[in-house]
Amino acid sequence: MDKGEIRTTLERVFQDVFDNETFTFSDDLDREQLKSWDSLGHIRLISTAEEAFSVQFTLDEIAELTTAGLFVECIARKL
Amino acid sequence: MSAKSAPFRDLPWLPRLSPDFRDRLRALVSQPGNDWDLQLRQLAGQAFGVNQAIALASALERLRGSGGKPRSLVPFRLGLVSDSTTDFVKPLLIASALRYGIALEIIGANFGQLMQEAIDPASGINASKPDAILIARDPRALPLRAAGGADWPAYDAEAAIAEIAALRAGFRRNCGATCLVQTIPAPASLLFGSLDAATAGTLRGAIASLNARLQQDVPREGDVLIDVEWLAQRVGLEEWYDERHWYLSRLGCAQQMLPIYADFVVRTIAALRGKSRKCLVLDLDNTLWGGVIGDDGLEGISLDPGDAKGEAFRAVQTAAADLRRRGIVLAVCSKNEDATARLPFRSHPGMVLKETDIAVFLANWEDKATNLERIARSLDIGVDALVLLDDNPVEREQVRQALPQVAVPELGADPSSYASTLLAAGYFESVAFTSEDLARAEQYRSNADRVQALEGARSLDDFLRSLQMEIHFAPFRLDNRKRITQLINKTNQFNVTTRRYTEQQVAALESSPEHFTLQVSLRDKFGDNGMIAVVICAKRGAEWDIDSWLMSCRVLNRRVEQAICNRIVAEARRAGARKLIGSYIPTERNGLVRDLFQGLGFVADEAGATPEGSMRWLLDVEQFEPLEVFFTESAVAAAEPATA
Repeated sequence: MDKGEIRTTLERVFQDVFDNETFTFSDDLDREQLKSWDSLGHIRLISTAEEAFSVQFTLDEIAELTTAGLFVECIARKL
Repeated sequence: MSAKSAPFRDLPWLPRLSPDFRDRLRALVSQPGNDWDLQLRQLAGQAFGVNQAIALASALERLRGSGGKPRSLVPFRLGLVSDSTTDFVKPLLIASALRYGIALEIIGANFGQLMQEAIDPASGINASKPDAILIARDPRALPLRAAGGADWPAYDAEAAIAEIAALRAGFRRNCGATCLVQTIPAPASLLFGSLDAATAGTLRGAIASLNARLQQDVPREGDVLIDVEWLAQRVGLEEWYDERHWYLSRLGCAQQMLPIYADFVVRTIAALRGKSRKCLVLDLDNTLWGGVIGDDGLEGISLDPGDAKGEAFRAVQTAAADLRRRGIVLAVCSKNEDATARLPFRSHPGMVLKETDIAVFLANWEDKATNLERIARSLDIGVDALVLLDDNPVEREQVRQALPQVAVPELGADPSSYASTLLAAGYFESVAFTSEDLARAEQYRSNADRVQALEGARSLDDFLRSLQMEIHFAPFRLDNRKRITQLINKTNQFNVTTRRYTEQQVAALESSPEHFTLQVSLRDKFGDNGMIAVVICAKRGAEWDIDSWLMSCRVLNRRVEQAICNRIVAEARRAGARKLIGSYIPTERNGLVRDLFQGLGFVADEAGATPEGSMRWLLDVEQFEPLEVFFTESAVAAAEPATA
């Protein structure tokens, strides 16, 4: 899976978690910008992404994944 | 169809999430029709995940505000006492409850203040007067570590046992609601290894002792167990626990476990509200046996022990036979010639089920929805009490569309999963098991026989006389307490006020001088109907107020209600009362008894009528002439006392 495909799948993950079908994926998206990306939203994002890509994040990674772009990089390393 | 069937934790008996789930939900919220509650229930009937559950729960909240009264949803207020963060659990429980027709309202406890919540009479949960309280404790938050520093034992169950008992006692004292108490899953890790299981002082040993005590104490004291220990074993401890979720957000299980966990909990709530299914309807070809009896003949169908496919189909039959043994009624609905369909029951040595196990046997060429309605009618139960087990996806879909109230489990391509899928779905969840349950399947069959007898009788009175009915009245008593509570909480149709009472409240009524109570059982020449009616009257000097009156619909049109009325009046007269007050509070399901009091000679009290349709009726005790009935009164209870 290349990074483009990762972004496509992640877009669906974000749409699902934040209940927003018009959401368009951008690497720059930051936790600070999205109100519903709070601590519980983050846990759901982690779990939903783990299921979608069949990967598992470590506690360190979970703490560091604060932008959409970091998700892409981290998942690309695991696949 | 997917290549691999869904695992247990993904609720494989439910239809998969449809691709347009979000769109349909959004459309429903923005433009709710009159039947928005039915549409929402249908969406909740799919196998949703955590994200969809949150959307469903918030849709329910918004629609209750804007869409009008949810007519098909029964409200239920649940106190939630949990060591886990409840932000995830709450929406999952609310969304799963929709599946069972329940609008759940959840009152949470403050984090880390579970005991205060129980012992303070003014706490949020106690003050809210909940219908039940879920006690969802986690092994990591219970005081399972032994006191005594670095010495052995490392773990001990006593403090945890005492803590859960204190929670239950607090709630019982301060709000009287039934506690739903979770058992505790085994630990993911062992200290010694296999030795843990047999060694006192290990965590595994302490949790096992704790569960053993819960299994003993909780049902005995009128509360209800939720067997999360089994649930965790069923999905596998490897999947159940995700330590990261506990460390990050105090969630006691992996997030992916929440959909099955919530469904598992809500089944018990549905059972408390009498919403469990009563009848299993079986398709025949490729469901009860392999192959098509009409094409393959007796020798051609697979049903032989020793043959793998035959064993799989025999397992389906064994599951059905076991359900029948515990009181679930069995019916057959098959597209077949009647004689052909009955052939294996009569002549195949591999059959586990017998023809006499089947209360209603319909083999014809009409569509299944019509036949299912017919089955419900002849058993005198609602269509929403039926489960249809059918291997054919087209039939399943047709029934789901025509009769969405019928539960229709998805089945995979392999019959070896049929029995476990049927049993995993929790359609027949129950909170008590009484001798009435043991006899029920037989009672329904004799009821079908009674319908036959009716067709042969000249008049209804002649028919009733020919039934040789014996009726028995008794006040509430300990030996039937569980059955009385069960009837009070699951009777929906013949129920004038639909007031629900917990086992503790029923116990209190047994000795209350302010109340007159009545349990009624009935026997006739076809068999024992067991306890079939319950009455509670509040005595207020010269006035007796009928607080509750409910009856099993199995004995409708037998003049039981007339006999009960005669009895209440006689007792009221003996106690010096002059007036009997009857109330009718309408619900979605009790239209049947709207005119009950009028039919018995009560007079409407206009002052007691409300715009919601409630009505008040009065009867002059002294003027009352006993109504004609056809019973002999038996001296002993028709049914054996409830089993423990």
